[in-house]
Amino acid sequence: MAAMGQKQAQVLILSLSMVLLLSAAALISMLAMGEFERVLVPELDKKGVRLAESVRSLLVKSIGYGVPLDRLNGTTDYFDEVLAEHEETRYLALTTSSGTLLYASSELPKQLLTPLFSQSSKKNKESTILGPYYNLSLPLVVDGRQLGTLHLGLDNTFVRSRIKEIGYDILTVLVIAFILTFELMLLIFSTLVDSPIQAIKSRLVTLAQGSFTELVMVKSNREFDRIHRLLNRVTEDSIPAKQLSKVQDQPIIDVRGLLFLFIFSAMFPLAFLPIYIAQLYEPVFGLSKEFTLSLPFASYYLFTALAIGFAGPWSEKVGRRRPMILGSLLGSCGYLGCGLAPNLLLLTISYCLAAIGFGLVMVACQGYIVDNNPKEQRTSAIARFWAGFFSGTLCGTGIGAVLADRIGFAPTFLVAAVLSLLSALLMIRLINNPAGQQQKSKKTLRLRHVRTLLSNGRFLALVFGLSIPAKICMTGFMFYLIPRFLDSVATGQSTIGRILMIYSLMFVFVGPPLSRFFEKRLNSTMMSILATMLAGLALLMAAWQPGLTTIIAAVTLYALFRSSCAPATTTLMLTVSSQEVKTLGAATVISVALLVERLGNILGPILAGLLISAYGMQWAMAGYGILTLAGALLVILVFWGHRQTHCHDKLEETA
Amino acid sequence: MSFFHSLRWNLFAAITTIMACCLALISFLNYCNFEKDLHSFVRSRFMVVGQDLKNTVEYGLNLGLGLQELKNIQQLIVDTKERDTDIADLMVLDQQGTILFHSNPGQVGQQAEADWLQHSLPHRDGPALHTSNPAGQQTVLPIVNQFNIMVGSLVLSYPSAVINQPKAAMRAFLLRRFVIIFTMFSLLTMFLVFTLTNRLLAGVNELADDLEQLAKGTPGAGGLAADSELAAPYGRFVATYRQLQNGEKS
Repeated sequence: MAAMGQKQAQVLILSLSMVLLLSAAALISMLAMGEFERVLVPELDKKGVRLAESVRSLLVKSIGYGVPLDRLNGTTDYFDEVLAEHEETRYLALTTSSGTLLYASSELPKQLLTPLFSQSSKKNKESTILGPYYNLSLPLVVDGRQLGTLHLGLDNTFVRSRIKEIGYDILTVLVIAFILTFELMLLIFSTLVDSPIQAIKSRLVTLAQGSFTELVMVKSNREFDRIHRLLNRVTEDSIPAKQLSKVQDQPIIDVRGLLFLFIFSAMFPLAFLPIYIAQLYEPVFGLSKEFTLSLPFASYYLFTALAIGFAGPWSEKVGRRRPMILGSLLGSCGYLGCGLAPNLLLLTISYCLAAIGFGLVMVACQGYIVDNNPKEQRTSAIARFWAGFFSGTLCGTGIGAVLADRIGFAPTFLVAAVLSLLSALLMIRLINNPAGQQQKSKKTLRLRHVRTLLSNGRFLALVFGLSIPAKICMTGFMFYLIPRFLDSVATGQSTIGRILMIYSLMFVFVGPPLSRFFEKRLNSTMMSILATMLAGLALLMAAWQPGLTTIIAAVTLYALFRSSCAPATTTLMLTVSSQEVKTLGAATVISVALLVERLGNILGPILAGLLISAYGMQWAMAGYGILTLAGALLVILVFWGHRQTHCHDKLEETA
Repeated sequence: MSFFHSLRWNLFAAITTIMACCLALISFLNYCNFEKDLHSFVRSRFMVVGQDLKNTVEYGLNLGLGLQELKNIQQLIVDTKERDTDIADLMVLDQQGTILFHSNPGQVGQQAEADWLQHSLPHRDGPALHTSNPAGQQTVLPIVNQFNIMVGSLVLSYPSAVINQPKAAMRAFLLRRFVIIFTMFSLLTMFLVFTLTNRLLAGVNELADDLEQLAKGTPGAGGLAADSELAAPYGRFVATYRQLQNGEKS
């Protein structure tokens, strides 16, 4: 079978399994919705009858007191009140026994009802379907004489519309299942097909060089192990047994799938944590409520940054496997602690534990990729890493929110703990990277590198004007303020999750092509500044008229502009620090920028807490917009200043 | 080769596990939504009945009568219960928990001692309270006089079966559909995986067969299809191996 054929078969299995999965999910949803309608419509009908009887009894009572049928003042208002109280009702009307309309609620489909009014109901209850209405007619009988008929209209599509409300949840699950299947199938193919093939290829290359010195010990009895056994046989035939050494079969897998699973669990709390924290709030050292609530977030980002700083050198020393497994286990313990935490302090400690785990896994996974991919393949391997990261973020945020909505916050944390534990178990089973095998990094980040780069005015302006405000907005506005605000306007958890998913969706699917499009039309300085200013305006728009629609628009626009300018900002950083790139290397320059911008992650929630407690949510949103615009302005001023100085120097040189 | 170690089995197990989780999650979400809507519909239906009675009682109070003096309420309660077979009990209590009117007239004058009721009494000042206990579901409505002072409560009880039966039926329905759909699609997955894995492993099997021939010393062995990913390294390996074999022989 040709290599292309093998890839084609993989793509075919992947595509068809996703089609099967989606078809199964769609089928079960459709059947369930049909059954809902069958059970819930009679319930609605029962309520309609009770309501009509209630209205009729009041009318009968009034007539019983001697008020003539055509002089029941206030009946129209009463009908409107009833309609306002019961959302599934659409109209109420009272006709005489001859079919003349006497009273009706404000909204009445007269044309539709006119033929019905002419027929006077003699039965106790008569129901008819009238277009979008389910009409109930009850005779108005006083002293054995029918005086008229009461008509109550129920929305025929009410049950269906209620069922449709879950449609968004199901759609979220389907989108997530789609991505989940894709990622897990990639993991399976990488583990069970690609890695063993690469291992065989590499062994054949070694043998072709005449190095018949090793026998590969295979543990299992899979398809690929047969080849290793045969190659062992061939090797034994060629070389005397005592000259042979035995080695374990240790295929290198693509960590994308494992990272996806870990990030998937880590992002579960993203949409609901601010709300959960608010529920556990208790006064601490006289600090304001909003500031106290922001502390667990700030601690999370602080511990993530510390873990990242520590994990790099440590994983160089002990190998990537151990930090990865430890990170996942810490994550699992952290989420378990969050779910069981009775107060804010224990929640913060548990969440910090999860943050350390997050930092360890992130660094160790990237290290694993660098160690196990040749230099020319590293860029694409790192790109796959980030694709796994964003897919995990996207799915985790959505599913976490849906679960929190249905089963509650604490159980959702427990699900996250189980998934994180699962990723640890898979890492134990699949990752082979003992200490000493990895390539040691020659360059480590030193404080003098940071000092050198921060003495570059334009680099400094870009970090403090664009990168740090971007991180502040991500953790403060997007992950803290948005869930808090949406919760305050009674938005469900699932919707909050879906809104936050937009942020990741933009970064995964829209940002990269848009960035490529603008790259050809605008220079990186112009693009970074323009997109940042537009992102700032999007935040101001949210502050101007906060509401569900505005927030969705603001999140979409903000993520769109931010994702489209992120690569341009990185390019710009490398351009303005070209001297430093020559001496320190591009990787060090980027590392310094990433390290310093983590300050923004920590400051984001704290700033949100301070702004909310001082000015309220609306002004806090405005604060983030102003900060973003001010950052862009700072970059404009510094770059303009630099240009002036540069031109002046050139003029002097020429003179 | 053990079937459970094969690529086929691993692929099949992985896809069906994801499918099972996804279908289970969708069924669970559907059930949660159904449960929420059913509760809302049933409560809202009984609220109409309760509100109707409450309005009648409060109308009497507004005329200046005391709660105990509204003698017509007893008959109204009995009639209402007869009309709606889903109602288990209807009663009007005073502030001390004494039953003033009850759908079972024998209960009138007794003290409502149920724990749930005692628990709910302090919370009755809201528009309505919905509680549930092993005895059934209750809707408790406050009765206020013309001065907006609470003078008693109207309690409407209905059996939990009104809610639990449709819920159990829906659980059974969803479980049945889950099993049927999962089985059906698992079989399709099995067919898909077992058919396509042959294509996926064709190159590997070709290599293994050729290697076996090579190890046996069969002439003509040592070549794979040119477009195979492993063809080039395998070709070089075979050349080296033959060289080594020939060297040994000579």
